[in-house]
Amino acid sequence: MNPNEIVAKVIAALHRSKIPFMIVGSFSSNVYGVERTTQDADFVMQLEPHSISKLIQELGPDFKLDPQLGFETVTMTSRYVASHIDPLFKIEFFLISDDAHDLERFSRRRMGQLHGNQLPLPSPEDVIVTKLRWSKGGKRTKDIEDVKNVLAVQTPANLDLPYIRHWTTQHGTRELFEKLLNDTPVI
Amino acid sequence: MSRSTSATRSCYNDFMSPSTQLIDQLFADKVLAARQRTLEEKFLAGGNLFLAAVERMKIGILMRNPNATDEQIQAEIQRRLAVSRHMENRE
Repeated sequence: MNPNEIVAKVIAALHRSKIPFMIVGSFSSNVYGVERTTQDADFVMQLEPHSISKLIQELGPDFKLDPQLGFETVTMTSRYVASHIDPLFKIEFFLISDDAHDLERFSRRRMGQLHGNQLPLPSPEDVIVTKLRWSKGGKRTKDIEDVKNVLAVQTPANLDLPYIRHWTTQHGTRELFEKLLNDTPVI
Repeated sequence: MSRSTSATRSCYNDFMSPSTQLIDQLFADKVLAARQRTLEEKFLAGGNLFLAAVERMKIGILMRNPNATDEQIQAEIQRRLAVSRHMENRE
């Protein structure tokens, strides 16, 4: 099955379950930057205690969601991993944490449209802040490439630079951000 | 490596290496093309590129092993994707 069909099914199931969510990771950086291949889809959701069983029900028999909560070591957040009967493509559900930027990113999410469904996404500024934060000081090259691409496609003039500077200062990634900003070509 | 082979390889690399100007132009083309696409097109692009990559993997596996069954091909693709995920997380 096409990964986009799997993602569309998950989005529909989350809407039916009335779980507030947004799509993060490369699906969101593709929207604001230059598209690249992705082999998984990451969702951040605000989960009530009873919601996970509702989500499992709404996902249907094509999905297997491990009800055991796991831990993601890169972002230090809790997650559920869902597998589809087509085993090549992976879906990960991250629970919103009490981290200050995580909460603000979620509250600022924007609504796009996909096949007539609402498509909640982080803002481009939050994509940049998050990618820099988890780039391990710039060592994760795909994250840095994503940031470069978002800066170039969106252009610095259209981004809320004080907001990005505020959070990158908090996360210790301000210097890296300024370097990437300086290197952004005018296109 | 003999001196002449080394010199030939160096010439070849100089000839084949793209100039900074070309790299910048290719990047600018990608950025301009990305600005032309709709949000929906851009959102779906990652999945479509993944699908294309998997198809190419299948062709590659079949070229190396023409008698591979669908199950063997699927298992090999899964193995390669797992390696790729592992490498990304190790970076």
